[in-house]
Amino acid sequence: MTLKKHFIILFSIFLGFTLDNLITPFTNPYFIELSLGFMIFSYWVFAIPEKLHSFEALIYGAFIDLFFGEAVGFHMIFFTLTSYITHVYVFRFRIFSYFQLAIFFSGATTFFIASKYLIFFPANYSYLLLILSFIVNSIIWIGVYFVMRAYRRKFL
Amino acid sequence: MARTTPTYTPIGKYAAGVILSGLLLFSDINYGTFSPIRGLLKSSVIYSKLAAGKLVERAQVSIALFQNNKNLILINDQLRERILKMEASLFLDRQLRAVDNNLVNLSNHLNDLKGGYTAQIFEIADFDLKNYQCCSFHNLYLKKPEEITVNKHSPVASDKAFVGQTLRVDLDIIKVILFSDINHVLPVKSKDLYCNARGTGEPLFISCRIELNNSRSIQLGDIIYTSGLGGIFPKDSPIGVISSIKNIGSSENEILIKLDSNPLDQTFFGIISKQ
Repeated sequence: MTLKKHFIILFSIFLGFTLDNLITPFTNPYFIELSLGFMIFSYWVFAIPEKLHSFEALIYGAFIDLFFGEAVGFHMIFFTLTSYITHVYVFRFRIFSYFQLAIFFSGATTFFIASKYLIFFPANYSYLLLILSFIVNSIIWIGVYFVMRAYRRKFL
Repeated sequence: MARTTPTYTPIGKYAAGVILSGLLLFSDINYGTFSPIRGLLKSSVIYSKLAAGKLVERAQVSIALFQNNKNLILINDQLRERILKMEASLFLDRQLRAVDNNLVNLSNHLNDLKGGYTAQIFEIADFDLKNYQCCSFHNLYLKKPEEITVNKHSPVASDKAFVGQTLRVDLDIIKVILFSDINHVLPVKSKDLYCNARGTGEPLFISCRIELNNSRSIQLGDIIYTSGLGGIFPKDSPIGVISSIKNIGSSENEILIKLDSNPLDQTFFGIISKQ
């Protein structure tokens, strides 16, 4: 894959994390945490697994850690793990319905959010936040899926 | 018959990636290995935001020109900024006077320290609103003119009270840790209380844990002052009031202190530092 295509993918992930930073202050009082950036990364691995492997996940994670993270390594770990699981089950995902995909990717996102809170903000860890975030993220995943698919078809 | 098409995903590279990331995460959390790089990048992002904000501001002024409102808007902005600056400097003057008085009372031979403090006003550059609303890390960033030097661990005040202390300076952007940050500890006192108040991770609240025997005379609404014991903040500066007293366990009380000054309401902050 060319460097230009990597920039296109990284730009969309950056945009997702920037939107997270802008939206989350307003959703947090209602115990909802969005993770658009993580869902966009998951989409890319799901959509083009043959082009995104462990090294790409590691590099994207490092960029996000440096610009948005609390510590270097956190996004790297989760991007690599997500990439691995998606690669292992990629053909099974192909026969999943939108509903099943939403449940899986929202679950992965909720696990990511829970780990973030456990590692960095244990005092603010809340099951209510995780449950509500799971529901909201599973609805948002459908939007992310279609928007990102259109973006991929236009630019990649 | 196989239920799905098998995939070839060798685990070795992924495992190596996870182990490497884990090591980096461990070293960064425990030793802050990458915090200077993150600080530089964060400052660059803030500068880009400020530059974008300036562009928007200029566009707004240009539009206002067409509407013949430019002068009024400018005068209004200038007056508002002047009022905010005056409020902040008044508070800082009061604090400096208190510092000077303390030094005079302390000892005559320390008189040369009197006036050895400076107070400067800085404009806010960025506020980490996401973490402030949800999580335990509460930071704000101030713009520093090139010619001014700011020390680490200097008190930061708004127009009403102290709000935090400086942490580091990257590319002329000062990072400030607020009292409500879970990692911040502030020695405080009231009429019958001395304790180290830790940030709760909740906006505007810090808390103290004290023994039951020592908390009998403490009441809701008592004013809390800085004790000066940490060596960073001048003593006897009011920072908040006791908002609740909770019993935790058989021998301890948790005292919740509501801070007087909301950093979200401020545009200018003052920093007191030794010359």
